[in-house]
Amino acid sequence: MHAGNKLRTLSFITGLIILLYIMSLLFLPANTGAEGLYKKAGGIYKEPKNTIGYLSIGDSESTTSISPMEIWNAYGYTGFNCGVPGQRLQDTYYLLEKVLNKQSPKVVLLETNACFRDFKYINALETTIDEKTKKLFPIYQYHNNWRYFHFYMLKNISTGVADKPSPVYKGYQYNVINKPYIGGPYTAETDEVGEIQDQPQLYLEKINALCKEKGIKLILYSSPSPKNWTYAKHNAVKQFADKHNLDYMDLNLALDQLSIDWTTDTRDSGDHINYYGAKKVSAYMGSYLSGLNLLTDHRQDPRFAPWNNEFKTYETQTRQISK
Amino acid sequence: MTYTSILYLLIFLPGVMLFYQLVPVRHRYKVLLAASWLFFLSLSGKLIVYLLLSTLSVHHIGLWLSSCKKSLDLTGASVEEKKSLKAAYAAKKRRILWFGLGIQLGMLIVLKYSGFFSDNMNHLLKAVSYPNLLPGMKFALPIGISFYTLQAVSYLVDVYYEKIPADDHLGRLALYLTFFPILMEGPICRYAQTANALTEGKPLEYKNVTYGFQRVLWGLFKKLIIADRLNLLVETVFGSYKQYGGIVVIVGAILYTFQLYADFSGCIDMTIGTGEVFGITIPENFRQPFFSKSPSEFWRRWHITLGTWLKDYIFYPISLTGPVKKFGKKARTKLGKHVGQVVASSPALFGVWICNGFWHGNGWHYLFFGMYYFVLIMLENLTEPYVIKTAEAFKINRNNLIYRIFQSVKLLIIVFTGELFFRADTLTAGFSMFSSIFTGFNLKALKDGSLLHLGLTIPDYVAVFFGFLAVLAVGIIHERGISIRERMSGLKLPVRWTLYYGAILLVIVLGAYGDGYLPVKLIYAGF
Repeated sequence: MHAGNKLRTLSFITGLIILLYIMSLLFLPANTGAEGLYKKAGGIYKEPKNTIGYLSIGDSESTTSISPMEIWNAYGYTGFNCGVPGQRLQDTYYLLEKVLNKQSPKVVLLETNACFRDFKYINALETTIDEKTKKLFPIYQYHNNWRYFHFYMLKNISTGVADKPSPVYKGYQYNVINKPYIGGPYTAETDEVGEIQDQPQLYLEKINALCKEKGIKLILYSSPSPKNWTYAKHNAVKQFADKHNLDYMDLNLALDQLSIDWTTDTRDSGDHINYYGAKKVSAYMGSYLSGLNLLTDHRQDPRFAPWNNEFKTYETQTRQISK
Repeated sequence: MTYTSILYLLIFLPGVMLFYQLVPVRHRYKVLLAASWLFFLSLSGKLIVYLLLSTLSVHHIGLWLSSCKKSLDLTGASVEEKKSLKAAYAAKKRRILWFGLGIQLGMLIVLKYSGFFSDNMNHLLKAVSYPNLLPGMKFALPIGISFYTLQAVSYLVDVYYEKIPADDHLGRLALYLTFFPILMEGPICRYAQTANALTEGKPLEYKNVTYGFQRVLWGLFKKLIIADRLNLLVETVFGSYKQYGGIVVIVGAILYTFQLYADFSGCIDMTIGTGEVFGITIPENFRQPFFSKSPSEFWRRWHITLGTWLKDYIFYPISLTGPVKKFGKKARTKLGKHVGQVVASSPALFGVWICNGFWHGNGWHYLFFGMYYFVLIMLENLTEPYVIKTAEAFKINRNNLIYRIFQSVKLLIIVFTGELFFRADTLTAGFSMFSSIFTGFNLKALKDGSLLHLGLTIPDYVAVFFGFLAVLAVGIIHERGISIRERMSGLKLPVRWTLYYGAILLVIVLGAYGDGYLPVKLIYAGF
C-alpha cells in the first residue's frame, strides 16, 4: 500500500473514531429520555438505596422464571431479577458484589443452571471486547435509543434530564411465546451425581461466602427446564446445598404443585418457561418467601408508590398481550 | 465468534490482515490457514477432528487417483491387453473415487442424518408394534460441514474426471476447504475458482481493502438492520403458530422470506468482501432472485453455487447413467419430443431436488420443500410451450409490464409458500400454518393492531421498510448492470467519506443487536 493510501486509511479511521465519540453523546439515555430500555440490564443500580428485599440471580433461567411484579402484587415484597442470559457464575458473583454495595436484601435466590455452564475462553474474550467497546463508544450500547429521539433531545443534553423511563418489570424478561415441550416425563430418579466444574464451583462458594458475610439467606433454586435439568445435576446441587446448609428448591420436582403444563408454559420447547410458567413459579416462590418471615410487605408504604404504578403498567401489558 | 461480532470485526479480521501483510509472501497462506482453523476452533472446538480427517482424506484420495493414472503403463501392450488394462484402470479409479466419496459423505450422513433415520425407523417399527430397535442418535455437527463436504466432493470428482490435477499441496487444499469467510455459510466454491488465489499471497491493496470493506458493510446492513430485526416477528409467529392464522401467517411467511434473503445474502456479501480484502475472488451466490419470473429462474439466482453444484454433480451424472438414458429414449419415442424431453429429465431433476431438500436439513419439511420445487419446475417445463402458444393466440405481449407483474406476483406467492414450509418446525406445523391462512383469514388483523404485538414496534417496521427499500434500489441498479462501487469511487473524497460514515453509523444505530434483541445465529450456518 502506498504511503498516501496509508495516510488516507489512518485519517478515515481517526475521523470515524471522533464521529463515534461525538455521536455517542447523543445516544446516552440521559439525552434521549430512553433510560428505561437499559434498566433491564443495569436497572438494579437505579433502585433507591436499601429498598430491595430479595434478589434473584443467575442466567436466562433466572430472568424468565421469577417476575417480581407478581410477588409484589401478592405479598408486597420488593425484589429485583438480576438474571442475565448466558451469564457465567463468575459474572453473577461480580454482579452480586456490586449490587450489595447499594442494596441490603434479606434473601438471594440463585438459579442453579449456570453452575453447569462450561467455561470457554472465547466467550469470555468476546464479552470483554464487547464491554470495552461499549465503554469506549457508548453509541454501541445505547444505539437503540434512536427510537426515542425527540424534539427536546438537544435540550436534554444540556440539562441532563431523562424523562419517561419505560418500565422493565424489575428485571423480569416478559415473554408469551408458546412452543410446547413434548418430550414427556424427565424427572426419573438416579443416584448419579453431575459434576460442577472447578470455575463455577469456586464462584458458587464465593457467592455463598459473600451472602454469609452480609447476613443474607442464600437459597438455591432450579427453574423448571426439561431441556437443561437432569437428576444428576439435581444431586450435584443438593450435595453442595447440604454441605453448606443451604435451602435448595428444585422446582422440577415440584411440577404438580406448580401445575406446570408443558403445552402452554414454555416458550421454547422446555428450555425456558414463558410468562404463564413464570406466573406459577412466582406465586410458588412468593408463598415460600412469605413462609420465611424475613421480608416486609410494602404495598401500603407511600415510599413504594412507584412499585404500584409499575405494577399497573405490567398488568396492562400482560392482560393486553396474553389475552 | 461470528462474522457480525465485534470480536471478529474489530480484532480477528484486522489482526489476520496485519499478520498476513507482515509475513513473507510464501507464508501468507499459512496465516490464512491458521486463522481459519482458529475460527473453526472458536465455533466447534474439538470437532475440528472431523475437518482434519476430511482434509487429509481428500488430499490422500486425490493423490491416489492421480498416481493410479501414472501407474497405467500401456507400452508394449497389444490392443486386447490395452483394452483390458484400461478397463482395470477405470474400475480401480472408480473404486478409489467411491471410497473417497464414501468417507466424505459418510461423515456428513452419520453426523447430520443418523438421528433422522433412526427416529423414523423407530416410528415405523412402532407402527407395526415392534419395540425401538435403533438407539436415538444425535451428534454435534462441526460448523460448515454441509459446505466443506460439497467442496470436497467436487474436488474429488473433478480430479477423477481430470478437469483439475490432484493437488499435492496439503495447505492449499486445507485452505480451499476451510477459508474462514466461507466456513459458515459458503458459497460452495470449486477448487479451480479459489485454490490458487488462496496461496498466492497477494499484498493488501488499497482498492481491494476499500472495496472489500464496502461489501462487508453492505452485508452487515442487510443482516443487522433487516434480518435480525425481522427475527423478532418470525420467531413469534412460527414459534406460536397455533395462536395465529390468516394475515398474520401470511405476514410471517413473507417476512421470513425477506429475513432469510437478508441474512444469507448479507453473510455472502461479508464473505465476498472479506475475500476481496485479501485479493481472492469468491463466486457470487445471489443475483437479485426476487426479480425472477419463474421458479427455475429463481433458483438460478438464489444460492447459485448450490444450484450449479447440484447440476454438475447430481443432474448430469444421473442423466448420463445407462438406465436413465434408456428411459429418456423410450419417453421421447412414446410421448413426443417436448413431453418426452421433460419426462426424460425427471429422474435427474428428482435427484437434484431431493438432494436440495435433504441438504438443508433432516426434517420431512425440508424434503417437502425440495419436492415442492421439483413438481413446480416439472410443471413449468411441461406447460411452457402451451403458455407461449396461448399468449400468442390471445395476442398477449409477454414482455409488457402487466404480464411481467403478473409473473412476479405468481413467483412471489410460490416462494413465500415454499419458505413457509421451509421455516416451519415440522411438516405438520407447515400444513397447519398453511391451512390457517384460509381458515383464519380476517382483515381485522390489519386494523386492530395485531401486527404490533408480534415483536416489532412501529419504529422497527419503519427501519425494516427503509432497509428493504435500500436493498430493492441496489437490486434494481445491479440488474441494470451498473456497478455502484465504481460510481462511488468516482465521487470526490469528502462526498465519498460522508457516504461511508453515514452507512457505518446507520448500521451501528439501526442494527438490531444489544439490549432488547436476542443474538441471532446465521440461518444457513445451521444447515
